Amino acid sequence: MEKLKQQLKEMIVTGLKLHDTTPEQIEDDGALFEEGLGLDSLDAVELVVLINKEFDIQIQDMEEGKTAFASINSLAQYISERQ
Amino acid sequence: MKPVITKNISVDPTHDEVPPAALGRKLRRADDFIKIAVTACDGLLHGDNTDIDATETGLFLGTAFGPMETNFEVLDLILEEGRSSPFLFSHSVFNAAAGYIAEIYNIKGCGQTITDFSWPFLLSLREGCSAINAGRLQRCLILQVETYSPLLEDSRQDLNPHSPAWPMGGVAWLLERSDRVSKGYQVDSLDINSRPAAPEAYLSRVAENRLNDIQLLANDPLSSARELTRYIEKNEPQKLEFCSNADYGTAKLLLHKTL
Amino acid sequence: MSISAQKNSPIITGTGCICAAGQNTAAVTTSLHAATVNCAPIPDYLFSSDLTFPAFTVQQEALTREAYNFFLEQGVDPSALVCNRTLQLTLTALTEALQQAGYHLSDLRNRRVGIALGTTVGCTFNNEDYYIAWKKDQKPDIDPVFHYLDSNPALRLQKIMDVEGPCLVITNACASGTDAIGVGSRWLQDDLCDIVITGGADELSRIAYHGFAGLMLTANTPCRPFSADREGLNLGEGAGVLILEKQYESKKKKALGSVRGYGSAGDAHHPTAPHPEGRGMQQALAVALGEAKTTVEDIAYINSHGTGTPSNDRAESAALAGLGFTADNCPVVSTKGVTGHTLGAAGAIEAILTLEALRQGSTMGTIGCKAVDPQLHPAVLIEREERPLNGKVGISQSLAFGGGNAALVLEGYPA
Repeated sequence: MEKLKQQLKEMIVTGLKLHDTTPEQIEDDGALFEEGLGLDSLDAVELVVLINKEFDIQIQDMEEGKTAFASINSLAQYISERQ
Repeated sequence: MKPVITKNISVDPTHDEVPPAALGRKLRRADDFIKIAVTACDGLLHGDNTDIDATETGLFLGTAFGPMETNFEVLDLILEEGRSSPFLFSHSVFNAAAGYIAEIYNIKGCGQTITDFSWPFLLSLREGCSAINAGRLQRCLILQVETYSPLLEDSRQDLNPHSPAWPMGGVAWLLERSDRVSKGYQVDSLDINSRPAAPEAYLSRVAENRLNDIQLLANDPLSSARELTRYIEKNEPQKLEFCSNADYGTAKLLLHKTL
Repeated sequence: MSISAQKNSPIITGTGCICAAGQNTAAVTTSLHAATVNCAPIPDYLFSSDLTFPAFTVQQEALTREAYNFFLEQGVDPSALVCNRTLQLTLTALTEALQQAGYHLSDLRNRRVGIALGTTVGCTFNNEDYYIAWKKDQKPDIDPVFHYLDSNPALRLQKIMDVEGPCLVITNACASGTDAIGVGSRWLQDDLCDIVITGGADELSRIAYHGFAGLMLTANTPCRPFSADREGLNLGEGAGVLILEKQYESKKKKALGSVRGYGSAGDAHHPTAPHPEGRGMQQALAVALGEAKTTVEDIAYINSHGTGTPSNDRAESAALAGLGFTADNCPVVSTKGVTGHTLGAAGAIEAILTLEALRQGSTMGTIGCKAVDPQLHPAVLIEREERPLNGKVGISQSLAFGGGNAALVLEGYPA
């Protein structure tokens, strides 16, 4: 799971172009959207596409996405359940 | 009420900071087209503390080729991986830059993105003047941004071998109601008459461009806006008369210094 | 109620449209009444894709034989009519509009003819074969680049019709058609020209199709605007063209209606998402109503943007509610259930459908909406409902990517 979380953090920093953030700075249980990392709706749909490419998992609608994307922990959980 | 050009800027990514460091995070996803557009606006509106309501400030962005390379990047992903990137696609839409500018500088009046191969800056200027003349806006930004693409440059070289590359960049003017300002260049008249032309004409851009008595040499899509900006910046000539005569039509702009 | 006539409101003397619902205005109106939903998988003649989102597409022949002959018979060279699909759609709609307005091309040549059109795809270089060959360094023949340079919709129309006057293309995403009509109206008021050909067009492109799918804005089924279970939009393609002239011409010509007001405003909120309360849409509406010297109570019909995405329909409803529109005094509909979202053409097609409803004095409900989401007010008219209109003035509005909003206040003269 730790390796997956690290992979996710790197994917978020690179894929969402967070040039001023390092993967180490992203907390496992920190909020990704709104407060915390401050990602928005456009980041959310880009993340869906990145996850599809990286893990071959298709998130069908953003309601599903919202819960999964709450934090690195929830995202890692979501992905490992589907692999 | 003829509007007055009160501020102006020309952005050259080869030696200007694009975008300014403070806007780095906000523009993290943006492409070069958007970054240049926002940098130009920042030059005019940074630290702006106007009392004009946001709904009475507008923006008119003209472009000949739009975010062409971003459009190709979208296509690359579709062709290679059968998918689209939301970041890339939303930025390949021509009015994406206007959306960013409106959000960052709180511009709630009308925002038009105009695409034309002849004089996109002057066409935007005409629309902006009309809005201010009619009292629909108190002020507006007039912009042109070009970022081109390697495909376009190759085509141009095919047609005009060894011709200098067209430089990417942006130009922006702030236009305001004349009863609110004292210093600047007032727009006396602007006539644009487009004429059907062979498509090559928009690439070779053979034209006679004059600013007062001076023959302008460069003729890339941004050159007339850039040269006009340079002369306005100098703030010397009492009158500025720009005339362009090309295969694709004629344009004439008359400005005079208010003070 | 009495609404004072606007002396300088441009009159509309001809309209033309083509989309999945029909090849001309009458056919599209018939489809609305019959609730015909031509939403289907992408046909092969457009492009191939692994995605299965259905769309509203036009037949393969986007330039109809009638339109082709219309131009040919007036001396236009056949080679001038070889053009991309967006232009073909435009020319078909233009033919209907000119015929309705009673104009031959020769009638236009001694007048100042403004051409203001909206598009999104129409200004992009989308010759994929050329791009692929160029990328592989095969140095393909440069003709496709010349075709692209010859395809700015307004400049190309000027060339084909051999007319003189101001030309402009608005690329404001989904509001382009509405904005183009507004800009054209201004030109007449500013006396930049004597007659305006305006509207918008967009073919369905592979990039747009994949792009909207990637943004998770597309629906797997025909769209359900303003419904609780709405899940997204369906893309479409088409063109809408209107001929505008100065008020005084109405003594000589049978006008269909007039453009009473136009407003355009920005949300200044987010690059892709609309402001949740539709504040930019409210502002655009307020400006348009102000110019038209009408109030909310004077409006008899609203053609909403109504794409069927959760965020658009929510923002748009909030905007209308914020201004005081209620379902009782003014039916609100979306027509995208039969046209799809035609991007640059949407504002123009919808302005035409607004005009038709006002002239007929009644409107059909929103195809695709069987029950309105109880959280959305004002409630739109649902499908299978028909409502008489209690006035001749209505609104057509658009919300665009990038937070742009545009609204037209239109008056329909009795049919």
